[in-house]
Amino acid sequence: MEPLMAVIIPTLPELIKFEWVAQAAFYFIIGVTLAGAVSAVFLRRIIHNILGLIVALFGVAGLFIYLNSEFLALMQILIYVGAICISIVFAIMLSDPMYKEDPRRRLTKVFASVLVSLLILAGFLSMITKTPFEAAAQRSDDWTVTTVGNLLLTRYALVFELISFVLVVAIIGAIVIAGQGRKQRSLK
Amino acid sequence: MLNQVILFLPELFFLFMALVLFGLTVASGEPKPRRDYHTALVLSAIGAVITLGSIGAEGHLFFKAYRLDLFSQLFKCFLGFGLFLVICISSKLDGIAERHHPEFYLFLTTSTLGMMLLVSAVELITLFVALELSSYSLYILVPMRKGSDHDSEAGIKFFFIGAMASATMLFGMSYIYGVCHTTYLAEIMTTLPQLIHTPGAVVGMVLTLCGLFFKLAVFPFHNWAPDVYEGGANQVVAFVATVSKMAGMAILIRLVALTGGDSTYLMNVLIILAIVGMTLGNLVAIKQKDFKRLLAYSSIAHAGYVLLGILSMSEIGYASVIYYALAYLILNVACFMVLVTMSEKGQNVKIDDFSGLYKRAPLLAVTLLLGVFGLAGLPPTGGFTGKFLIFIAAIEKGYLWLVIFAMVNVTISLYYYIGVVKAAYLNPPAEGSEPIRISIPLRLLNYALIIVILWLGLYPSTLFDQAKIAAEAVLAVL
Repeated sequence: MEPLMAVIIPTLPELIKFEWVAQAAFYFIIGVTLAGAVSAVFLRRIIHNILGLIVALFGVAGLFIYLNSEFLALMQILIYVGAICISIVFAIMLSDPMYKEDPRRRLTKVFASVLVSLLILAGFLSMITKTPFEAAAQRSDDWTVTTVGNLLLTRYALVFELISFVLVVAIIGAIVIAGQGRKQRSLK
Repeated sequence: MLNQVILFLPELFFLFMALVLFGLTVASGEPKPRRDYHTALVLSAIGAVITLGSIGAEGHLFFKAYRLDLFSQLFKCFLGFGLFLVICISSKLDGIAERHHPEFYLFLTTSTLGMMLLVSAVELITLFVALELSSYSLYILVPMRKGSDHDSEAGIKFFFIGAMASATMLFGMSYIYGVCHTTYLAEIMTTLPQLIHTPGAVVGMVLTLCGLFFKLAVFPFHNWAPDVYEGGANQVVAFVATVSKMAGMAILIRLVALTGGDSTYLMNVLIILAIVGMTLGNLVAIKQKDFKRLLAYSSIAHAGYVLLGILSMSEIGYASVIYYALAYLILNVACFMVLVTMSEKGQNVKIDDFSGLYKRAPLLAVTLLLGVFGLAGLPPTGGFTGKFLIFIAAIEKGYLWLVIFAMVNVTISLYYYIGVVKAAYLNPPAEGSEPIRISIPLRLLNYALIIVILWLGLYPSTLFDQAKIAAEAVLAVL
């Protein structure tokens, strides 16, 4: 065994280049994201849609890691997968079961939506290729949680506070509307 | 430190007001609508006075993400008074269940607070979050109407189109960030005019503006307006039609001013949207029987006139839009005040219901006449002066044919506006209809609105000079 390993390990960097690994990882992440997104949109059962969404969000988290933003990647998983998707699952479990027949997909509708999406895609592709996007100067190497926390409470303090206020308004609103619906149902 | 608190005082006061109203929402016991009304009325009156006093404040806050200048303070004052006026006409709040009255006032306040932050925000992320704060509150207010069938439809439509518009706006902002490398409007203003000929910058700008087109009900994002106007409670619609529209106009000016004004693509987009919006709004409004639906379509047309002032991209153009925003606020509040007083149990009002209004309540008939003629753009009302200033600004920039087109549209709109006046003055009252009793505060409000409408129409110079200085402040965002 030993002689073989001794031969392989020094030649490993020559056999597999790091760029290739990086490229492969990138395409793998993109593939996972796209596969998740496609199944989130096209599958007919709502639980499958959510599973697809979770896969897609994991893919996006992978993209953040690829871009060296571990913090964002963790937040992505914690908030989107851990909180939002789970609450969607709860919402489905707690709402009335839908035994209604799925509406059939109309062919004209599918055709029209594919056409519009393709047109928009073509428009954006030509726009992106024609625009000279310059790379911005790198601002910092240090994206630790400490730095992000400092930025949140200084430079982005107003937005940070505002978002919490938006969430409070949304929660109160959800309670008001849900309570109203319940009262109407009990009246019936 | 104290200095900064004073600069931020209007926003802090409205936050305090929201806190007090929140206290009322969780208060135990029987609902007390009069207590809620008086609390909200007094607080919003104080708020309006504070915003008036803060005109002239200047400075930066929050690491330059927040800017106070004459433009933002003027609009904050308009917003404060708009909220006060809407709460004034909420004394007979029958469209909303009594136990939800505190929430109604709470969400009006949070929405106004969001708009106040919006007109001062000079950084894209702050701007977006402030916009969301104002929209979320409205998403909740619209389906709060009690016991009607189409309220949830209106609410859902409003929410989905709004979410779509927000997503489009964020997407557009990402392109602006991509070409400009910054989220600060001051820095964007120096770099964007050189880059405005690249497709990325134009597409980013147009997509960003889509979020505001939704607020203003400009043509491709107008679908929600008729349903929300018809489905929402009368006072909620009064707020959406006046205060919310005004904030949209303010921030539209701020963002369009960033482009520096020589992008043919962007101009063409704005011109097309203005033309289609005006024509569509005015033609469809002719057919409407419901007064609120009529106002909805007329608001789509009015958004077209506003775009006309904005695409002049000159100081005079922006100043005329600021003037128009105030006139539009007052005229719409006048129309909604009559509508709310007419509607006995908070129901919708048909145009036929105005029959014989001049006999049932002469004062209301006069206010309605002035409000409707103002929206049509007839002298001597504020609506005439506002339109006149916008058209002058557009002609100065060489858009004569566009102004002629807008004039044709104004003529079309006269038809349906005069239909309302005809119902009120020439049709006999319906059998068994009684005179409408007008309380003394409401009478005073009527007189005040009549005076302001005529003042805006006859003596525009003082306010227009202020508007011009405010427009300068926008163009010098650095």
